[in-house]
Amino acid sequence: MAPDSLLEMDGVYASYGSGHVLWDVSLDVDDGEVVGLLGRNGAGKTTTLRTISGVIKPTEGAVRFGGEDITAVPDYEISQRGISYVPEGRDVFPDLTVHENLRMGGVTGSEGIMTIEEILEWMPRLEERKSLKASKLSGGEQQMLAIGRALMSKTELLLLDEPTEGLAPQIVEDVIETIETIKGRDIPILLVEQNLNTVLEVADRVYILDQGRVVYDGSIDELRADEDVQLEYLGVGTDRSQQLD
Amino acid sequence: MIASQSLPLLAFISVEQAAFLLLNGLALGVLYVLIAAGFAVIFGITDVLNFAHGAFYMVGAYLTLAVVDATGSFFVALIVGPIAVAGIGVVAERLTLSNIYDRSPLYHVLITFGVLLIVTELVEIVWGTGTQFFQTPELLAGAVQVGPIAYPKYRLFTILAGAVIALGTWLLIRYSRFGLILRAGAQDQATARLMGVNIKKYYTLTFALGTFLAAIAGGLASPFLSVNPEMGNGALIIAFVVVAIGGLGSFAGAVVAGLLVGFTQAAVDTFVPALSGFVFYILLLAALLIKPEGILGDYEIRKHAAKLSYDERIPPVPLTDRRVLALLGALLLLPVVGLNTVMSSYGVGLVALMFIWGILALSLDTVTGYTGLISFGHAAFYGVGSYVVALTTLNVTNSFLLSMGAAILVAASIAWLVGAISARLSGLYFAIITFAIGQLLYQMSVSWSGLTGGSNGLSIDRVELLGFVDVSDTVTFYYLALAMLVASYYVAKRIMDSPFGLQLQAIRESERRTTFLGYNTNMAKRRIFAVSGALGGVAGGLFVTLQTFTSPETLFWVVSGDALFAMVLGGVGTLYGPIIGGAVLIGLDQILTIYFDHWRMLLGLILIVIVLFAPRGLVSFYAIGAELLRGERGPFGSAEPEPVEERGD
Repeated sequence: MAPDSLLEMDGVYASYGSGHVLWDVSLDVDDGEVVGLLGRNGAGKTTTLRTISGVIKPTEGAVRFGGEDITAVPDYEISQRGISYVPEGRDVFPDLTVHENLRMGGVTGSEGIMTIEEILEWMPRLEERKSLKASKLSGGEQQMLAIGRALMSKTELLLLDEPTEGLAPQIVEDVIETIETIKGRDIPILLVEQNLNTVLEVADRVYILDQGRVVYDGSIDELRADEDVQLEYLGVGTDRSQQLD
Repeated sequence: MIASQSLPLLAFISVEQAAFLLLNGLALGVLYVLIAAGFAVIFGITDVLNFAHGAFYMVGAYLTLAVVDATGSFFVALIVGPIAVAGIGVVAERLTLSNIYDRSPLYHVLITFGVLLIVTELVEIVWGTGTQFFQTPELLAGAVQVGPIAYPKYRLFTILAGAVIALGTWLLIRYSRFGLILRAGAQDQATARLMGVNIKKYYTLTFALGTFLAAIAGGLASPFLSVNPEMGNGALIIAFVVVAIGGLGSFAGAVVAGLLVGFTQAAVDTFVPALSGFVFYILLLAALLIKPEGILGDYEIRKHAAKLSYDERIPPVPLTDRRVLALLGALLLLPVVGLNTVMSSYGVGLVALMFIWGILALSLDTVTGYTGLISFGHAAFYGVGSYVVALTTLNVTNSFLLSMGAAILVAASIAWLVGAISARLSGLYFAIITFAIGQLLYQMSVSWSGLTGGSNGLSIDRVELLGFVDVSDTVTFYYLALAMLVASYYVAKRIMDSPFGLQLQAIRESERRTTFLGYNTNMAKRRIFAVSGALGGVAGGLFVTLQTFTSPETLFWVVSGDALFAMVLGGVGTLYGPIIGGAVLIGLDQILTIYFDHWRMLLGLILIVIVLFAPRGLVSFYAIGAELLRGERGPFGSAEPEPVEERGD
């Protein structure tokens, strides 16, 4: 493993209670790249992100960020160090306004990569709704808000958990565009998806998890070419429009 | 038309009276808002019902007074005193609540009750139990002309200061960065942590803010209320009532409700003084019945739905268990062998009292430990039982069977009614409404002195069983109480082993899912509440028979707190644990009180330690000890320590 990787997971085991969810997972994300993390339901994708962000502590193995061991660092401090995590299901604060949600992103005072004004300019639909409670937004708008909120805080690595889940195809396109914009700003992203298309569109490299283990590791072109892997671990063939599961 | 219609009503009071009424209502209302504000803030952010709120209010009064004595300046004291109290609040929170936010509210209630006991006793140690005199600061002494009337300056100052403090708190929560974090954390603390916020630190700061507000209310109130260790009780009740009427978790609701209660109280004091003590409870019951979520409440029981759940089931011990039989044998022999050798008649009476508290804690366990309804009003059934036996004995018959039958019937009926009123309320609302009903009955027992003897209570003479056995004889009573304890346990265990008992436990784990299975959970809750009330009535009826005396003390909310303590001390959700807990608690009470004036401080300490380190109580000691002795591995999952897992959400 390259010693200068931004993020390294090194032989990580994690569990909920007595059942192991991650088995010897090693992966890395380098500066400026978008890495996709694919796999079926229950493969351990979300758990991987939760382990990186410190919500779950590994039972074995180590997580390093910027060369420092963050395995035992509490979740809020990992966020302060620059890992921004947009959880599955968005998790916006429902009773706070859009504007307050964004403020909450930058609340620790660490330098975010964008200001509220920049985000609202970038996401005009949020600008229109900035005084509304976040619970009044549509799913796509909430996703945008969650991403914007993450960018309000110091972000040296962005973790996105199924950002297109449950969104209409048109909105999915908007989200992908947003991810590409962030990528254009050289912010590395670890993107968890069940939707192979999204990953093929934006990622540089990809890992596939199956039953808590890394079973595939390659460039996006290699994966695109390898239909056997697609079929075996993702359950899809050449028909790329097919949604997994 | 409207004006002419309302004129006759106004004709009853003069303009001056109306002005007084208005200002008095405002002064009281603002004071209530202040008292409730800190309680509302802590609850709104952390979902904790802080039973120590009144104690911090009281300490606020004492420390403000102390700083006045030291510096001579009331205004300095009004800032310095509450800041010192906030410091105490921080220490208390770090040592207690901060470790158990993720637990059932039952434990929050108990641990803050423990803090209350310690703080109250500390105040009594430092300042004694007497009432302290707090002189109105010179600048604010006397009256000032307000329109048609002269009104005390200090009250006007209170109105002004209270309004400023309430507004300041509201602005802080609504507009500051600190307030933003608090509100976000209240909605979703896991996500707030992902924003880089150390949410525990903010919970501590919330507690500091809440205790600061309590203390400043105490400081402001003390020049026109008396400063004594009891003053916190009243404040706690005000906080409860105001916050419940306003809507749990709503600060603005607390402000509206505080003013509403204040004006109502002022009006009732003027026009219907007989009802003066009942205003809180009547308003609260009305609010909970008409609009249970409160005036401005949009609060959904968020994080834990007040759920009580156990990792490990500790089944009740059958009566035929050899150890139980041996214990029963020993208890049967105790008066025969022990009387006049190792123990006096007092000792036999004490053991009988332990049986009574065993029954009371057992009765609570059926609703709280098994059904998951946190009742903070079991004093109601205990007290009602004692009063019904006393009144029946005094006025109708001295037959124990008849008076006890009446007590069971009345207590069960009241409990059924309480269950019916509060069936649709879940979680913490249930704790609040049972608390309020208990206090309502307490207030009745104090006020309706024609019937109840007021605060002097009632004394009874000779009670007979079947007309010839004198139950007032201690040894006879001992066997009677033991028999009723065994019978109560038998009934409770039979219920919990039955399909109905399983249904109750299903309600505890998830009421929604139990409903999906086709059960009428509200009916089940009403029924078990009636059974529990009946058992509580038995305990109270026995109590008055033993003591030949009852007083409003039996209805006071501290009895409810002690009953909860006894239940958890012994082992919540095990039926036999609470009996042990009740016996141990009352034994400690009666013995330690001889040697140590402030033993309730020790009690508070024990309570906190139990909640923190042995939430399943003394019976879990036994289970742990037995496992160690046998060298066996424990039941699945407990022998081998679980890997530490962060609580996600």
